Amino acid sequence: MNISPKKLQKLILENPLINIIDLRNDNQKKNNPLKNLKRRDMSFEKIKDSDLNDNTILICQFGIETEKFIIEKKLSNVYNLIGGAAAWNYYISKREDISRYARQLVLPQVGEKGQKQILDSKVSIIGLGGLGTVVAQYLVGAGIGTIKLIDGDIISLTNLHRQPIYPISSIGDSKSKTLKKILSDVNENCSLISYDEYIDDENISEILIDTDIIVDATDNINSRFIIDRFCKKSKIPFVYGALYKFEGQVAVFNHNSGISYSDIFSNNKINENCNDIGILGMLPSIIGNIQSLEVLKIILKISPNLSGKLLIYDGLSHTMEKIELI
Amino acid sequence: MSIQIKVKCFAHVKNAIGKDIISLKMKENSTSDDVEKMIRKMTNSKLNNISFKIAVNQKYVSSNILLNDGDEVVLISPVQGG
Repeated sequence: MNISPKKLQKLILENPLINIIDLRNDNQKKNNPLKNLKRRDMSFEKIKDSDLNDNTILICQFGIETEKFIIEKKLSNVYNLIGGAAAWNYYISKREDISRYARQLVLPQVGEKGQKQILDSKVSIIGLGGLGTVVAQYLVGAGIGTIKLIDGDIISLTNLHRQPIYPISSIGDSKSKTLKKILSDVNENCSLISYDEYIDDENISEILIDTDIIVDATDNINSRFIIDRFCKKSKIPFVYGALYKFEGQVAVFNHNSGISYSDIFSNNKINENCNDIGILGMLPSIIGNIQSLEVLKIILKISPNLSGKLLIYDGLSHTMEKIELI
Repeated sequence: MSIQIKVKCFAHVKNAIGKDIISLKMKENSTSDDVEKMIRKMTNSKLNNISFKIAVNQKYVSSNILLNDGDEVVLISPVQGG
């Protein structure tokens, strides 16, 4: 059984003598001492059945080892603290429950510090079609603090095969407002702001004010040039994604004033989009997820990333070509 | 003397040529721009409206460069679906 830091605190208020056991190793206990928590220090090697009574809480660094221990020993009425000591200490200091991120907290590239960076981040997603709906879902799940959802389009029947997050009952409704409503139930801690309009050179500065990273999930080259101009002026990176039949492209432009979209692409008058040339629903999901991953890598300063590189994915052969742009 | 150049085809180029990869036999001292000209010629007018950037051996080249035997060339075209 699992318990969140918030529920544990409530439990302690009801029963201050509750049996709490810290099973972390000495280094973890020394480097990350548990804040405001009366507990007994033990180890996985030395703990005995007699140490456990009903409603015992077991704590490890991220709630992974204790969960495994409870399952393997088939312990009943023993609780695992989700997110472990990391989530508890964060909750005590910030009053924010990060236990839901336990599976990413445990990654050395994330940890408590990285999760805080994610929670403090502000991302704008332009275009809420095949790419944008996927990016939004995973960034909300990851815990991005503020996400702007921008699209002036409405949901149509032929969108649904590649944008299955929209229910059939939402046909004719605004994409930005509908997505905000759906994702608000996914992560209450993520602040979602919807803009039921298309970006242009006049409104982009106002809409994208106070943004750390822009995700380009648009479906036309002209919008990408508008985003590119704004990003260069504002020194903001943007994660580009685009589709062509079974292929997708992803790149990170203007990161640390690096190469920009207009350095590589010309404003070709290509009259084609997913409506004209066809697309399977899975392709934007794959490319959108790569974009989401790149957003987190920028926030967490993880290398290598796609800054200054163009990734071309071929969904037919499942091959990737990565081209150095600088 | 001639050199063999491998062209990996994506997006519009793949659409026009109908293959993932083609091998081009070219004269020695051929350049990246020569590959583009040859591809445009092979595909008649299908790629007329599209401007390409070129990568040689997985690196973008901003100017016309000399090619060597066995080089891999990609013509990068803008795609816009989303």
